[in-house]
Amino acid sequence: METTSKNISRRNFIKLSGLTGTALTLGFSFSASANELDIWNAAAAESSGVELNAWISIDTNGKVTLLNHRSEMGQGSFQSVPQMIAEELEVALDQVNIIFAPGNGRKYGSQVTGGSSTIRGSYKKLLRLGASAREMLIETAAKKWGVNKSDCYAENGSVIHRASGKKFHYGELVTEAAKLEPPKDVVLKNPKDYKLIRKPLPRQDTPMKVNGKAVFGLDFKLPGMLYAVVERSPRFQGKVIKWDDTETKKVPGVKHVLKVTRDEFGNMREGVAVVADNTWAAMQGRKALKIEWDDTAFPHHSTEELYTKMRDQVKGEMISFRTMGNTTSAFAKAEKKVEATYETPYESHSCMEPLNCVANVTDDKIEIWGPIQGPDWIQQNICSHFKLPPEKVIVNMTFLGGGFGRKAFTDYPYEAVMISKEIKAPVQVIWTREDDMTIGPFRPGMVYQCKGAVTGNGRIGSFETKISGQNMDMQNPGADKTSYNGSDTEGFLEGYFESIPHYSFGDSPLDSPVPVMWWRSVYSSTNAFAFESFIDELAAQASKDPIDFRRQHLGERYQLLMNKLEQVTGWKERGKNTGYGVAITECFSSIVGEVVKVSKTADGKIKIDKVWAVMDCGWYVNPDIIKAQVEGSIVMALGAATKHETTFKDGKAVERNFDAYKMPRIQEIPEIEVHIMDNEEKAGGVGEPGLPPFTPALTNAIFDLTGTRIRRLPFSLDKTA
Amino acid sequence: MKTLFLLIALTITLVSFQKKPAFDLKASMTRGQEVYTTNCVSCHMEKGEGMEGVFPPLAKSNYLMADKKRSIVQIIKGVSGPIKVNGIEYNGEMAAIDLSDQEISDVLNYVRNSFGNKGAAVTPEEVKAARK
Amino acid sequence: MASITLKLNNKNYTIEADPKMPLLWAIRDLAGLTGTKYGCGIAQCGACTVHLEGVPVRSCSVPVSSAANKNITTIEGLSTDNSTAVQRAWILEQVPQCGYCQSGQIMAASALLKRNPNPTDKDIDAAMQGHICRCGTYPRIRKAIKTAAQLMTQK
Repeated sequence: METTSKNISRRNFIKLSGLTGTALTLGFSFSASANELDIWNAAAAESSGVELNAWISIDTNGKVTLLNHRSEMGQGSFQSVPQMIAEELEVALDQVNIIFAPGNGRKYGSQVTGGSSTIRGSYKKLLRLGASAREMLIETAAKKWGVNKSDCYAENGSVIHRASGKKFHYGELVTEAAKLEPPKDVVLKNPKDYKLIRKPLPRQDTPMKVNGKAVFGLDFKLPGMLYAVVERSPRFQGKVIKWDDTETKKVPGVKHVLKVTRDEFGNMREGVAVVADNTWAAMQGRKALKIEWDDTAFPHHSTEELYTKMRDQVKGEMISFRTMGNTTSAFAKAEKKVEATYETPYESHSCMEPLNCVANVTDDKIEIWGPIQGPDWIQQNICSHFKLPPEKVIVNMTFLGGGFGRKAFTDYPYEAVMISKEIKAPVQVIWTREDDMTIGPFRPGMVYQCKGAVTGNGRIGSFETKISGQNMDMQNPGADKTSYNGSDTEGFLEGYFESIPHYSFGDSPLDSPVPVMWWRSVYSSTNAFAFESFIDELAAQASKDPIDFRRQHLGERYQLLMNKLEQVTGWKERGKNTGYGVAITECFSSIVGEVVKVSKTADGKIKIDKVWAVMDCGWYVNPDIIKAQVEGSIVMALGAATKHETTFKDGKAVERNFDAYKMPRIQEIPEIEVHIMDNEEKAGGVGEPGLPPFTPALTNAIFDLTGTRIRRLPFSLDKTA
Repeated sequence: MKTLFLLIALTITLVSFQKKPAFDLKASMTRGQEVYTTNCVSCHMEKGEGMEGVFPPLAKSNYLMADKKRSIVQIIKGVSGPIKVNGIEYNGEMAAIDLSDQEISDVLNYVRNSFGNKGAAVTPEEVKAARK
Repeated sequence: MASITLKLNNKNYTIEADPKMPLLWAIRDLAGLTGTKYGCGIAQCGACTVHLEGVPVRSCSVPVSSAANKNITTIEGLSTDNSTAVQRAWILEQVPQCGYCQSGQIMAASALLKRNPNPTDKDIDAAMQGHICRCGTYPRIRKAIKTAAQLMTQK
């Protein structure tokens, strides 16, 4: 497959895809004012004045060009999207050429790669798009031969007449097919007939990721481009009073020093940028800067203060989110009850590729290149700041060296645009690792107070959770701070809501200047630890097997997942001297169950022997990518559970680099076995749902082995046994 | 042989007469090897040999063994500017490495008692004191 | 500033640089080879690993002056057609996710296999422990190193 990570403008795409009448180009229209057809032939759309969201184009050589509207940050959209199109279109995967769509919310709908949504959000449309093109090509061939359409079929980029074996390559048909209306209804393939979907096909982006050719944001260069680093206020809302750049300007290579701002949730954060002709000179120049900050207008929180406040707040009044029955009276009356408080830490995203962005501001437009999860959001943000129409702001996506939520945030391109505009040259802003780790936003830490009751027959009688932590939606100036956090129950199994008679979830938002943002699996990444630990505590109180205890409350889809978990882990035959823990969570429309097996080493440490995961994400594309995503999610969860946290002291983040913010490393990784459920449920997310169940499964396993409950993260495996 | 005997005798004496257990150098070195493999080996190399003219050696290093307090401070604050190790000049930069008191004591005990080096133990208390 | 000759992948590059500039930035910004990545700048993550006279080093911590006139191999110098055993194994085992750290991982694995064609799990731990992968591809890295070792014996 020919691939390009060089980003292209819409005009270039049209050129590349041959949108000139000699190609068959089909796309979506997201416009509500367009008529009921949402798949359009490009030529027809143009003549009816419909703004087309061009997605695929087949040229006269039969080559398929696909515009990928989502970014590739490791999760595999670069592979799974073409795999879907190629399946219904009946072409080989190497006939599909993929290019990244530039950011344009109006054309492509939401392009934010978040919420594990690339496939689950658009798979039916993508399949229909491929199938529509296929049907139009078959129809064209049938007409040419003067035969019935039903006597023809498509295979490997050709239409074949069944009786005679006559054959047309797609390339020979596109010119005429382009004149047809896309069919209103197309029949999608039966999953049993899939040739590409559900096969562990190798990723098309792998070859360029093993020889240094893949272009990440940091690798993107323009002629005459300068490099900038920015000294930002080490306390989150500090303002520049003045600075002295005498020494900075003596550093060879330093060209400009200027004050910059950065739009963080609508609050303008300040910094001083040093621009030079290479990255290192800019870094050296920055070290020589002397800046005086005004940081008197906001509290300088420490981790201790934050958690003291949260611990206090969970004892007070809650903003109620979701309730059923009366947990207070149910708890008061219950004979068997459990109370527990769980605490999770703040975390840094720490993508291996630190934040960076290239901007080139010229007289007539602003163009941006970078590792970007939300190109359309960035386009909107830049348009509104610089008062430009969308067609003058072009946001291009490179490969992302990790994203995990951080690169969906719109702050970092703004600085680059501001600098480029000021110095009238293309510029790349590079965040050092220390910037990336200390400026935020962070995954917020949380405190959960759980109260639950077990009924006489060993079921959950009531389940109450009071949550305190920063609400990610309350950071904009003027945000409503009285509304509930709709994400309070993220990670909790939907099935429990149908079977627990009394439940309540409420929160008390913490106010702090620490900026917070989505972190892989968002609130589930922290909620699940409380929920699934607490379910385990209730199971122990009921003296029931942890899986049997859950079974009583859950419907068929969950039962099948638990059967699979028991089967692959040998749950019922598990031996002594080892600990087994289970956790099952649900988010982004996928359910994942994980089992962790632990044992004690000779010197009294906890060793994770093995992790099993069963993923039920419904309809899926590529099992190997799913396995890779679950493996990676487990490793990331292992880090947050046992290795790293971001702490604050005197209003500043303490951990600045990988020496203090310790990552899991190869020698600490247990064997991981991933299974995928086969069913016809709707497609769910893949990139995130594997993360939340790991930590509670681990701590539940440690309880099984040692009798000790771990209720605060992170903890050390060396000091637990 | 005689020294070994003396050492064992000394160890036994220490263990039996001190109420507070003696500093467990061996355990510290074992933990220190892990720290070394994660945080140091990429420059100073597996056997502490470094790379001539680029990364100073730790193995049989006159510079390392001359001053344990200096080593503690160098991990805490980093090193820059020219230094001379075993007669060869090095002019690179070592970043400060943010490790806990125990990790610094462990890793120094490992490098100061491996690769042919033999030196007095560094305790976490000494590291703590050096931070002031 | 000094004029320095870098021997990158058997090609000479003459650059003007502060002798203390880390080799990493000289390779990326001055020689224009971007396969070698910046990850931490303090030799703690391994993303910037290159071979200096065949030995894997963190290019973020090598002053460019001390690498002058020495043989340096970057990821681009392994092979452009992905023909080395390690690159082939990385593709076979589908190691990369985001791919950012993989240049460094591959350079470390290549050096390991050169000096130890049949590494044990412990050898792999020791050689790869300095390399961070935030996507968590570690299980596949281990598998791919073993696969590469096998590919090398088949040759």
